[in-house]
Amino acid sequence: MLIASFAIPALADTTAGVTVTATPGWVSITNAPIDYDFDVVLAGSTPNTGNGHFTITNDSTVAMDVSIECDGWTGDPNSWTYGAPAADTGRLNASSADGGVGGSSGAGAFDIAILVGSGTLLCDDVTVGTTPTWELELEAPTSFTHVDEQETTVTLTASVD
Amino acid sequence: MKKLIWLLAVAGLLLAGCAQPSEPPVVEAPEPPPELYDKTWINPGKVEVGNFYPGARAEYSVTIHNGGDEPAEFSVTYRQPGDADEGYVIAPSAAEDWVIIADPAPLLAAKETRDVLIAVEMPKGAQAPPKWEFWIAVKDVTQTGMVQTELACRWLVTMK
Repeated sequence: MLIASFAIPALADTTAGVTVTATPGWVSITNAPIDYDFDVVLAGSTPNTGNGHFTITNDSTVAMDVSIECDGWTGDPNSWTYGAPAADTGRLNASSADGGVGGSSGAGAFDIAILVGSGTLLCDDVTVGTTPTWELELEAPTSFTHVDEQETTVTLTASVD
Repeated sequence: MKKLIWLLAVAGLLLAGCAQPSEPPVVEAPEPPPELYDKTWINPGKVEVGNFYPGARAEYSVTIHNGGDEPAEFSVTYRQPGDADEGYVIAPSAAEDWVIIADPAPLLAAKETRDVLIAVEMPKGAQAPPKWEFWIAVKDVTQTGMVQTELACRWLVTMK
């Protein structure tokens, strides 16, 4: 009798002599809440969400590292430049009470620079079932030439520790 | 008539039994924990490639599960890690061109699980460090909100 089953994918097209090894491990995280509005900000200010505003849940079956990045500013019609504070230029930082050895040094430290398109480690070695918290800080531009609302998408990436 | 039906049934079972030895062995993969049914996940989290060399190819499938109640489109992309595993370095920039993703934008129905084949094909004459790492990032692009999540499968490559 043939038994239908999930099978480890065939490696027929892997070159002979090359080895491919995968250890089963399910990677899954969630984050809440998913939004924050800094509202009206003053030039040169550094408003933040308050410590522990966001909570990550590691639903994976293995310990995870969580890195953070964003996609820059989008305004209509004028966008800020993403970077160290300057005219129409601002950026985001993050921190976490659960940064571990290689991640953030603590709640409210805002020591993790959020870069565009390149992840920075926020929480190191997040164990299964734990719920690290984290927070955001905005380094607002030093001056404004427009007052268009700005948006960005922050991405948390989970990878096996 | 009854005898004929029995004869046909016995013959069918014998044929099925005879065909079995020629089938390749099937290795059963572990099942995900049931509590992950309603979560979006990928598996595995880490793929290790050994004895790799210019001109060689390695492949493995990343399994994606849509734990949501609605269909969702995912992006499956090559990523350079911010930091590599101990003993490894971040993949050379050219490595992005060596990675083939069979379906970079799969659309999964609610609760659907699907394999996406990933292949690394290093051209002859290309160069790479002895041990290098890249990621395959999987993101539900139907997510809304300012903070979104992405799941990464680490690929650790050791050269021959």
